[in-house]
Amino acid sequence: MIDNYLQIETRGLVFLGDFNPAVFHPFWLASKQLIQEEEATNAKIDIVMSELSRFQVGEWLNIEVSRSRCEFKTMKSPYFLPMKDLACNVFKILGETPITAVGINNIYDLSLKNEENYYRFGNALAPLSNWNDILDSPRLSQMMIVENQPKGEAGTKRINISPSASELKVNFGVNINVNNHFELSPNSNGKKAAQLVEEQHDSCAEYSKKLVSNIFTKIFG
Amino acid sequence: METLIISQDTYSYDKETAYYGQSEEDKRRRQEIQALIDVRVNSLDSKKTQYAQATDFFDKKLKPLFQQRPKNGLNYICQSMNWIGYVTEIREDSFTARLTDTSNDTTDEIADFDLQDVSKDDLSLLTLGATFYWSVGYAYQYGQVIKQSFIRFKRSMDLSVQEFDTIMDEVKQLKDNIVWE
Repeated sequence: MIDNYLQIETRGLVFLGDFNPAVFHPFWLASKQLIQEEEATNAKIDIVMSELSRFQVGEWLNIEVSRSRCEFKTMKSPYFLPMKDLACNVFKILGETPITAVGINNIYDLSLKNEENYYRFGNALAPLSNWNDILDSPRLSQMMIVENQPKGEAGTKRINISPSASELKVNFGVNINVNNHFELSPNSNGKKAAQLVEEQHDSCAEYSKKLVSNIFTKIFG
Repeated sequence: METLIISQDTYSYDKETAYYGQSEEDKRRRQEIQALIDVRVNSLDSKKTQYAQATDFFDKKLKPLFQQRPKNGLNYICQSMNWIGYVTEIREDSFTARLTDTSNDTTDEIADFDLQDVSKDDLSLLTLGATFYWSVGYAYQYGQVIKQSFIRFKRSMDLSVQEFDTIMDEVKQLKDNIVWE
């Protein structure tokens, strides 16, 4: 259903823990054969310091690491699985790194095509008739839905809905950001985090897409 | 010596001066960089496990710190068909693989590929049984729509002896728990 509307799909893997950003360098990744040598040579480095490391590899992968947070992200769907492989391999190598939580983020920028659909979407999520008598021309700007009681090991879901960033040039664009949050048990490490990502990555993607499709079907039929 | 690499285009001094220069100007620049880093780190920490919005073209406050991307800095893949391939045969100039469509894994397909479809850095990964990702689709690069097809081989860590033994133990346990009718 959402394929008719989907313009850009982004995926992010976030790890919370205790990191040394200075280790995260394109040449370190290449030395471990996690990326191609050419990619390391041509990487765009913004900064590599003890507090923050940020660079782009091969025009497909952005990595940003602070002392407490490590994020991998890509806007290119063919690279979702290579990015997962790379993140898991990094934390298999850095297996003893303390990790407290993992986030698997599926982000969709969808074009609603016209103003009528755009209004209809916001109005369906938050009925604007509740505001019409007190506000002039109310519109929904952003909302967040949180899953209060997750079932089993599915992780906690947090869905952010907002207009697409104007820089992305998505016509009547809506950004739906599905965060699948997993708290790890105390004393968890990189190895456990890597295992969790291996196990949950595909099911999170499938479920997130289904979740967005479900909303679209309800609103647009 | 602490590692310090900062985009040269943004700050026009080398790393030795950046860290060890003692002039007032050097100290001022170090403080400036540190302040920007602190802003960025705080903003990341507040996101927890949620996606930190693409900052190639956002974060006006941090402009001096990060490389400036092209004004139309959009580079993404908008539509693609993706397969996971498993190499079944290798010849002098080509190889055969069994393909599984990632969006519809009901039926596998068999395809031949030329060796020239494989990146130089991935050639060493081309072995029997190796896994690769094949994608065909449209990319949007800085305003230009490009039709493309590419192969990327999967990079895996070797299992340690202990990990292998653990997996085999789990497999044995699963097998022992199967109740055959």
